[in-house]
Amino acid sequence: MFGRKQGRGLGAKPAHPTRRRLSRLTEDSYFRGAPVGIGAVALATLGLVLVAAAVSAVIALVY
Amino acid sequence: MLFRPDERDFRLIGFYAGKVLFGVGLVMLLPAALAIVLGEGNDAVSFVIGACLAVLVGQASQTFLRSPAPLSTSHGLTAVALSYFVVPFFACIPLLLSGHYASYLDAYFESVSAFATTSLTLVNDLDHLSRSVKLWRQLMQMQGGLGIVIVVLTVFAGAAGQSGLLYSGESGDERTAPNVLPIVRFVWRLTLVYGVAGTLALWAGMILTGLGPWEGLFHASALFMAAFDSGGFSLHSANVAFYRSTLVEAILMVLMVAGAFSFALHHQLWQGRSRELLRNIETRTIAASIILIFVLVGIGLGRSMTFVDFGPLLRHGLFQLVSAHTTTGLTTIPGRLLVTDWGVLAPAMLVTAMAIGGMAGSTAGGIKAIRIGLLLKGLRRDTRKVLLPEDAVIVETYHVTTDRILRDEQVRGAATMLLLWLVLYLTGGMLAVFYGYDVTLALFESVSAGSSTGLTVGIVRPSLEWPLKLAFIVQMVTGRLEFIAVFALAGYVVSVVRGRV
Repeated sequence: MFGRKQGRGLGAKPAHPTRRRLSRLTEDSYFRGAPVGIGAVALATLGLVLVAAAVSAVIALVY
Repeated sequence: MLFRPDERDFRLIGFYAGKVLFGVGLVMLLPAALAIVLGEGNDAVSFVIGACLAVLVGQASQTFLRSPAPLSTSHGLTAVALSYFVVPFFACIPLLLSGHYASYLDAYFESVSAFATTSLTLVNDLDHLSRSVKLWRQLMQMQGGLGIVIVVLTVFAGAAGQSGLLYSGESGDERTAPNVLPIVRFVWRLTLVYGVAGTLALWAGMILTGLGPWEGLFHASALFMAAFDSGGFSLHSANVAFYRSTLVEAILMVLMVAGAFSFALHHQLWQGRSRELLRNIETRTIAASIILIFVLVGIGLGRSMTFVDFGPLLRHGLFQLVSAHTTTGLTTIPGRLLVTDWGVLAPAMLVTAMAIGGMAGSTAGGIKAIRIGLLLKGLRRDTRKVLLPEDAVIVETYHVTTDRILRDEQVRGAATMLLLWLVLYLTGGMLAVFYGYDVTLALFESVSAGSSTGLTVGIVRPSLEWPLKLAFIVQMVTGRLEFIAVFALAGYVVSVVRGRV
């Protein structure tokens, strides 16, 4: 009864670090990272295609 | 000390394998529903039969084998390996009843190939397979691809500390284990987002190629499952060439790359840490490997005068290479062309790409980039030790999420796994050579099966000798589960055979 309060607000007991990590992982805001994540994968593939295009151009010239 | 499993061990393993079978039986109701909607009556019946059998046996296992004993790592690993062998026995029933498979073994092979995300196929007349059966092949891949990631995250991450060398080459962070549930949730969210985005993009591509909206949607969702889960089953015998669309091929390449990225890396990227892409040892290794191999593939294709123009060389050469390296198995050329038109160097490089594979903790198979990266780092460290003065302190580091110091046991673990992979590849290859196949073709097919890729040069076909079918089945599951789970299952089998129970 006189212990520190659970939950949010003034005097609330801070959550255990593991619990904080867990709640951060399960937040819906995670979806906000999707465009960045997918964009990074698409850019990586594009980079690969560009390098391959340069290689192909050289090979087409040689042969 | 001898390994003597008792009744409780077998009950536990059977209980959890039953759970998996029960779940797969329920998933079988999806193609059953599609078959009913599309009026594919015979297939609807065969799916209901398969689902009922799987659910009944799964439920019976859970009811009669329930045990209060706690699940240990060895139980988990053995249950997983057993599931990969037992579940296809039931999952292949609709395939067999479709009439497109010559025997139960062929249907079982197909089912194992799907769950192992290999995509080697023994189907007769794929083009006329019903849509519901085609959907089931894709769904099996999806379950196998995602299932193995979740297994790696849960069982294998926990096993990393106990099984020592075999798994110290894995990127599985020890901290993964307590946080498994949220990470599994993240895997599902990631798959959902990629599923929606990838299917929509492919759908647009399909409609541009002239497919109708419903047909296009079916093809788009099926190809998403094939590409993202590194599965590789296609809906037509012409594979991706059926669509004659550079746009579709480009989208598939992005999805294949995404599937070969570890979920830990996706997690970092989704948190806005894009620099991880440049610093991660696995992305660096794969990027270097793909570029180097593409140069050699290009030289091979140029020499054999297969593709000497810029466009076809880039389009077909890169697509085949990305498909091989991500162990997906989708292709834009008939497999036989690899033998007749691609010369020697280019197919050999595809074999190398398949052998290396994708990242640990992804849906891809193969040796995995982390092990190649760690071995190269170890080699560099040892070379520096030789070159520098004896009292020099040499510390080699690598980056996976954070900077880490390379430890001897990690290099040893990676080397052990590399050796096991090479033995797996060579065993299947030599067995095919024993049956009279050319050594290069045999190695191509063996590496394709072991690394869960599915590219083929024509050895795997319905008339393949049955011992080779069985050998490839074992190879596919062993490669998919990365040895230790299959070894654990073998340990139980040996103990039963020897009467040590």
